[in-house]
Amino acid sequence: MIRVTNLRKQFVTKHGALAAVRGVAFEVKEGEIFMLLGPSGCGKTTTLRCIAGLEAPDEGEIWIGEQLVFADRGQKIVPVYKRGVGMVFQSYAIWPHLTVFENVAYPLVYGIFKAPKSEVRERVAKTLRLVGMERLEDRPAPLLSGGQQQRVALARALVYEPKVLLLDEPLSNLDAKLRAEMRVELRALMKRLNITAVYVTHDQEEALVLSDRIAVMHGGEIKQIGSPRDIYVRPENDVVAGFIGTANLLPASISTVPGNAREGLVSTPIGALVCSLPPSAAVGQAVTIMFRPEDVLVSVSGIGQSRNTFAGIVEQAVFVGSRFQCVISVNGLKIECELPKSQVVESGQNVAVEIPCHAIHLLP
Amino acid sequence: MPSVIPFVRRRARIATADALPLAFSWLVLAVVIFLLAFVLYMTFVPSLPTEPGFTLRHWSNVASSRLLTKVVPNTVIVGFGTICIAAFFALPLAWLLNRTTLPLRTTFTTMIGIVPVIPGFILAMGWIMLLDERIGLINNVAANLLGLSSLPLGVKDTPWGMAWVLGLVLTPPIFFLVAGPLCRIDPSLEEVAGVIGMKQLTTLRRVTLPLVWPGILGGLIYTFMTAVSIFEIPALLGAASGKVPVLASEIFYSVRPGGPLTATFAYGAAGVYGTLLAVPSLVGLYFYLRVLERTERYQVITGKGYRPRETDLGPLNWIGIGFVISYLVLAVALPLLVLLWASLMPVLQLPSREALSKLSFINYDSLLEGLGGIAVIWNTVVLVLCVSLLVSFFSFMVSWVVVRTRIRSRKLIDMLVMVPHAIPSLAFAFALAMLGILASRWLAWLPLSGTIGIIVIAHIINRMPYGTRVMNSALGQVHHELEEIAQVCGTKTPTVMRRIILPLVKPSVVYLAVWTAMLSFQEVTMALFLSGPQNHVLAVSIWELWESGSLGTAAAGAVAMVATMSALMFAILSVARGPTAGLVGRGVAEPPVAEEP
Repeated sequence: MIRVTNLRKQFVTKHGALAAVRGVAFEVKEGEIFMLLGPSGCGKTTTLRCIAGLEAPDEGEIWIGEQLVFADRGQKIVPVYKRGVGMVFQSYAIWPHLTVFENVAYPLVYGIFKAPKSEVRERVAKTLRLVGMERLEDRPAPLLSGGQQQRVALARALVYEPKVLLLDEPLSNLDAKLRAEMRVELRALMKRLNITAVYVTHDQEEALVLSDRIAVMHGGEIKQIGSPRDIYVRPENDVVAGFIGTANLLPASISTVPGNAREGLVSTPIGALVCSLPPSAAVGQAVTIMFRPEDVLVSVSGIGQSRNTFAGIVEQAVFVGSRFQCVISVNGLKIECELPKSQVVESGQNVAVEIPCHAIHLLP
Repeated sequence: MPSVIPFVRRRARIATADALPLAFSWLVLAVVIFLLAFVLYMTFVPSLPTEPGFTLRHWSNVASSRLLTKVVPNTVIVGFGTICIAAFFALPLAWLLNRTTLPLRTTFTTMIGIVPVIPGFILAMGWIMLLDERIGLINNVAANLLGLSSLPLGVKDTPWGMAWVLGLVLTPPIFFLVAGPLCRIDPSLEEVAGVIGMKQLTTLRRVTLPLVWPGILGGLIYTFMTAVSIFEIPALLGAASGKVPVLASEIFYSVRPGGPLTATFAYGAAGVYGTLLAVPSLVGLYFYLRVLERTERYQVITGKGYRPRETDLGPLNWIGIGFVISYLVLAVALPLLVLLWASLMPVLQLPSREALSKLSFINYDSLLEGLGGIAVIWNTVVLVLCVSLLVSFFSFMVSWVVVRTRIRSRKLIDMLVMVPHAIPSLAFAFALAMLGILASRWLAWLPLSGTIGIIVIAHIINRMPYGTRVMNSALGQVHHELEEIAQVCGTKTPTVMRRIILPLVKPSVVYLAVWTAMLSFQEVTMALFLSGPQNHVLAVSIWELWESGSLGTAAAGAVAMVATMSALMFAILSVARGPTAGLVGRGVAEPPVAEEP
């Protein structure tokens, strides 16, 4: 439904050229919710604006549906108003001089999505029902709350039934509770309408909950594309591992590669670890190992005979309600881990830390 | 000019969406550039460009004895005298109304803001009636008291008299130029002075003044530029009779002979004088921009929220209020009152019981006829409406390009549109007049010379710098996503402008239209320069009535004009309540141009 290849865009500022997007490529299938996730300044919003036509890329091709909307360094460029996408901005961009009805009806009254007069009222009402705003039609826009503005912005983007919906951090201005509700509601709505969506966010939880696939961006490049579970469980590099969830990252080198067994030995600053190795592994190769805090096992009963177990001292233990978040010092290195709330630990306590073999991932 | 735009070679990729506003912007700028080039060109042709050949004669004639011994010295005296008078009033006013606890400060500030709406030549007329050696009321009173036949102190036929009236007229620009930085001085800077034990007066002298002097200097340079390029006030006060010629009057009478000075056309000479006026103005503008840069470097303005420290004058409040009121009396009340009095008298005389018995409306009865009939009223209405609408329209388009697009030439456009602010309006009027003459010879079908249209063009050029400042700040406040989402929703730029942006900036547009109409209504230099038998407007008619000696009728016209303006202003303000009225209030109190050159 959407195809982007080798997208490049740089901005010329007073201090020289700044490459915002450097060779981004991805494809979004029909009905898929595709997430561009990354820290601020990673080029995700610029990528989205290029798809919408609000920025002209320097290079690359963009297809929306069967239509080539940008190609060949701007030789072929379809203007914004002809691209037929729906869009929701972070600021909502609700026109303050119009009422809710007038805001949502605008695309149907002027421009290329113009509908017969008789249909406008009905279609606007239908869309407002869809987002749960049917009673507020005549309210002036400045009198809406943040959540209501967000719904109106969504209704305005959906009213002309675009095939593609572009969302630029639509939930980031809402308070935490409302945001959590809206995530679920938004996903259900988009799935019900079978709409193809590109969604930009810096909130990893939002990305995990809402999307079918995630592209993690960093420094203008896509670092990994995959399903939420793939991205979380099998990050391909340290940038992705570090950005999604909390990760313990240790520099390591491979010390033993067994003949036919898949488990080998790596040496790390906290000691030797047993873990599964890819077929390409070679002795002496430098790697980074990653494991999630929730996979670390902590016991107070002393070091047993289990593998990958080390002695450590609890440096910090924070109770966050559902669990304890701890920092444990092992051989002078800080390891983050999570403990069930039933397992009470105190700082200064001596503990045994086990990093299960299956929880360890090797990153290049 | 402040900085040169580095030209980056890159394929122009102007989206079709921007083509419309860009086309309108370059239309205006092309006229500006063309007219300036034309002024220079005129200095090298013998007479009209219809005649062949080039000459440097006009430039070599500059060294003529008359110019060097009379015109330039007079112009310099007028310029510096104006600065002295204006600074004498503006600097204390700025301090009193911004940094003290004087009562009624807001009202006074708004009143000073309204002064520029009152036509300068009307104030000059008032002052002539007050201080003329023969007919001046004050002179007569003083002479009676001292037992003299006449008092040798007059406002007429001396550059100092011109400086006095110009100074009163140009006090508001300096006031607002200084008020800006004065309001924004970080009080902690002054508090430090308090801590180390300086007295208040010492603080003012040693800390406050050095901090605002860039603003003061900028204001003074700007005032000098403006003062030497105003024609009508010096003309009334002695330049027209040829006794005190200044550069502005030289230009005028070179192109419009008929005064006692020149009986022949001297287009080339006028071009040279125009260039002579424009060059110091550009130099002044350059220094002014430098000063502005330094103001930023001084970091007087900090973003933190604070109130400037205000001095409580205590019992001295009365002196402060007295000073403010005396300025308003001298600049507005006294000249207007004497005009009102003169308009009710068959012959100007001192108020007395005998005079009161002669009060009559006879001057008003013949007013319409004297002004030139209904045609003049019609011309004025057409002029004011066209200028107001077109300035708003073109300012919107230019500001759209500057603020809302990323076209590479937008900074250049923004700078070029400011040029008419530095070039004397007379230079533009001169170029337009020449074009009008040429057009009537070569393109007879083009109605330019002697039409109301040529005055409209002159006024538009003159008001564009101010208009774009207002629109720049208005459009800058509209978030770009409001416009972008409208494009995503399937509408093109013209629709987005009409349905989204224009309604959002409506208060600013209305304010700009009203203010432009006011200033176009009272403008006389260009309108007079470009006037022919068919295109007289109200201000020109009053001026000519005065010149022809019909003082009473002229005074009646002036009173009618000021009354019309006040009535219109209050009517518009009460109709357009809410944000527009607030904006007009604020805009009058602090014109945007005062902030930027």
